[in-house]
Amino acid sequence: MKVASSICAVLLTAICWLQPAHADKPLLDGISKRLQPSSPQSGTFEQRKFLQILPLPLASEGTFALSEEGELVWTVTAPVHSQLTFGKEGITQMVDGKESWSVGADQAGASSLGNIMRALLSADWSVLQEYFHIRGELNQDSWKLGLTPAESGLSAAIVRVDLQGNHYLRQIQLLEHNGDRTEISLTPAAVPLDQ
Amino acid sequence: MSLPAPPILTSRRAQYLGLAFWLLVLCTAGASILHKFQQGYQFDSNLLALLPATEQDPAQSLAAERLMGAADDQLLVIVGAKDAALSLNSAERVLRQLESSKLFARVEGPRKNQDLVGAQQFLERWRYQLLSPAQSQQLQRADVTLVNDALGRLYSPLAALIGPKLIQDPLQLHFLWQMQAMPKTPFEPRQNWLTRQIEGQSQRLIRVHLKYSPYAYGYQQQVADLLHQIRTEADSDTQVLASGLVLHAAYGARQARQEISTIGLGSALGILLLLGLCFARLRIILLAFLPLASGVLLALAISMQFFEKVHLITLAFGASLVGVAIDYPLHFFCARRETLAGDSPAQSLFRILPALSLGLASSIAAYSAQAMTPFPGLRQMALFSAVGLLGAWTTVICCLPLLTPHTTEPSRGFYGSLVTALCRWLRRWPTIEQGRCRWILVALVSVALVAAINMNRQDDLRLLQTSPPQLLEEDARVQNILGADHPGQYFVIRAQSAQLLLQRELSFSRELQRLQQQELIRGYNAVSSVILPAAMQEENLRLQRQQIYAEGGLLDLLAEKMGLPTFADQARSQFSQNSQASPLLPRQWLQQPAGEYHRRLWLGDVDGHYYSIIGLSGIQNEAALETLRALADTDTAVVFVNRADQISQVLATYRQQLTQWLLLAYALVMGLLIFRYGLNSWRVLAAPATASLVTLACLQWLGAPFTLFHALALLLILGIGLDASIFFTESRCSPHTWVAISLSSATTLLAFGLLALSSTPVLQFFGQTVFIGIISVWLFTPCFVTPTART
Repeated sequence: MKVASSICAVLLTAICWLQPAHADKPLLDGISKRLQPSSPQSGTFEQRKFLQILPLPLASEGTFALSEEGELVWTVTAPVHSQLTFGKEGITQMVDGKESWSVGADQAGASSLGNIMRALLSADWSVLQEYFHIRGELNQDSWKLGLTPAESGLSAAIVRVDLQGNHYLRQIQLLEHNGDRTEISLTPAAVPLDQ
Repeated sequence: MSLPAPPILTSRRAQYLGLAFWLLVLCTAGASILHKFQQGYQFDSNLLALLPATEQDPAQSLAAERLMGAADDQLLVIVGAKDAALSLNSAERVLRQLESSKLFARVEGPRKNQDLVGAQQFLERWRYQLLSPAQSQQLQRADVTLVNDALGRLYSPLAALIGPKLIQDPLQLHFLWQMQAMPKTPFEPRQNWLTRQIEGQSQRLIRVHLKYSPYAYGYQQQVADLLHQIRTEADSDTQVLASGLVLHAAYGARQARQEISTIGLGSALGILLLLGLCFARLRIILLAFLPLASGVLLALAISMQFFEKVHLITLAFGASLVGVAIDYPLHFFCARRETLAGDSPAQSLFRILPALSLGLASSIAAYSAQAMTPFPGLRQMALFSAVGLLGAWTTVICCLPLLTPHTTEPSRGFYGSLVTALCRWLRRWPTIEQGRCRWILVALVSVALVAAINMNRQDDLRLLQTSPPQLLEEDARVQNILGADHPGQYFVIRAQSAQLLLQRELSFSRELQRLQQQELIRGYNAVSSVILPAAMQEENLRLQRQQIYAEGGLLDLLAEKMGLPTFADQARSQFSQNSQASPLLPRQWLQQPAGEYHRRLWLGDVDGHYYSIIGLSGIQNEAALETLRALADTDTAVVFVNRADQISQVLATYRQQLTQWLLLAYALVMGLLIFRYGLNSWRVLAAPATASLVTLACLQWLGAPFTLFHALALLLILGIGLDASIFFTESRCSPHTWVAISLSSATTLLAFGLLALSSTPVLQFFGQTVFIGIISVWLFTPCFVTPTART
């Protein structure tokens, strides 16, 4: 009996190894359980963009909101005013209430980043697994994930995406080539008292 | 009654010489056909090739070839499922099945996105001069919103994409330009698969390149079977959709084969049975088909010599028109039956030779008019039919006397009773000599004429459509998921040089953008969306220098707002080092792997002019098509091509031409017959003419439309009716001739009339017309050609 169950365990591990897409299932399920079910997601963000060529990071802040239809509205309030909407149809930028730029989802290379941001904020692992190999750890009161691009077009732009969180996704770090990186810290709109 | 035949027909030596000569000709014909095929001779199946050369622009046919040719050799397979992991698994399985079949030249499943990345890197060299027209305008007025927008993006998650190139492209103009300049595709690489999320399903695209022609019969069936197997083995939650010419061709071929094995077998058995009953000898039955077979062989050899590409339509209808030639041996054999004791085959042949030759001459006269038309299809058909009939006629003369048994069978058995029965029937049959019959005929012809004139003409492309609705529906679904350019609708643009062509494309694109905003079309693809005219590239470079990089320009403003004055210097030094590139030229881009799609659109130099295609996608409705047509009408250098319209146009023109020619053919034949029959010539033509009118009236009554294929069938009716009347007149209404006419009508009915049962519209139309027409010819001939009306 004991032998049988250990063989089972070995087999299961082997299967997990053979199917990397499902290897993180317990981990991701665990994180999903930890995350507060609060939809629509909204809150404030602080972004710091580190560039090798610049002495100082570019810092900005604003709000974000994910609608039930899965549309992400990203509003920068400082140092400039600009609103970007990442939707299924593509990306739209509004400056001073006027549409200043938009790109349709059928333009090659345009839709992926928006899709990834939307999936990150709604913890849609199945979408993220289509773009990344996911590894990570789940601790007592926090979790960390490292997402490596599984797709060559994406890996030309992004080396890795690191996520950190507890009951919420707290930080997104996009690591680019040449040591550049984008750090985004998120604060949910309504933080429960125990946080 | 009979003159002795001249020695050239009766002498044994002359007969053997004739046979040897003719066998030599046929062998040469056979060898030349084989030789042509070895050289890779191919039949034409492009319907537009049937248009006269003047109406067919070389650039347009090149465009059609590029777009359709590429599409025809492909099979698109889309594997979809609600669950992304399942759709990936299924797609991988389908890919393995496709690859392991070894049926294809190339199977493109998951792809590295190297093309796009490579294109981005390639285009970067020209980043300071490639701008969209809107961007140029904004630069011209030094629009400050350019700076604000750039900052808005830089302070958003897009920074991850923009950051690495910030110094090279501080206002992100090139970044934005690239996104909108690349050909649109709703597919996005996910897990290295081109994937589209649509209607809650994750759809993965597999592009399969065929190894052999989509028309190769055995190959088509293998592909169709493989697809069937893939579908039955697929997971129940997975949907496998496929679209490609090969599937339609496979269906059409399978259907044709089924019909040949049912209708074809039925008619072959019927003909053999009929001839077997009448002549009771296998040798004679085989000899009956010899002239037909030799005629087709000769016709094919000569046509292949004369025309660079013989059209499949020529082959199909030409061969059926040569079918008239079955008359010749039948008349010969019936004449043998009628023969006086001791007559040699040569003597019998000599007796029917005038009728045989007159029948041939009148048919050839008719076809020669057809050969005058500028329509390649009609000309090919005319040559094919004329040569075929001539070949059949020669075969009868050179081969039959020698190969036919010398002894004549007495008219007993089935043949004997047939002669007796038909004789009795003939005696009772009303003729135009009787007053009452005359008035009935006049009334009938007038009514039929009115009905024929009022027939509903139809030239719709769907006439040629043989595919079942489920196949068409699947195509539509694949097209919807693909969201690709429609290969059947596009613009062809012309200019004097490559640069002027780019300029013209660009200004025409503005109109298309307007239609896009009105949501009449979803989008368009043009080479000029990547390659700007050289003059514009230089102008853009000047604008960048003046409005962005000059002291106090937009760059300084940006750096100031970022709070990093040194950034401006870094970007400026990049600009001064890298802004010397000469303009990007079309050929540089088209050589790139990512330029593949544009390579198809760029036709380049054709006969001293430059041409390109603008592809269209998502044409919303008929009104949108109308707008596109109207748009092309405003510019003489732009042509809107709608292949469905074009093919309908071909069908309509051919129908009109053929109808006119049919009337002319009657006139020509009449002119020829006058030499022999004088004032009685009308009697010879009356039967086919009346039969044709009555046929049209019947079709009208049945609710059938009048199409090109009905007109073609009327040609066959003229041929058969003419032969029947001429033989009947020449033999002075001999019962044996009437048996021959009846037999030939019956075989034609069996061979072509049964096509009325086909489910392919084209064959069905031809069949029903022949069916009614031949019966009418047979009924009307004895009305007009009467023993009292001899010359």
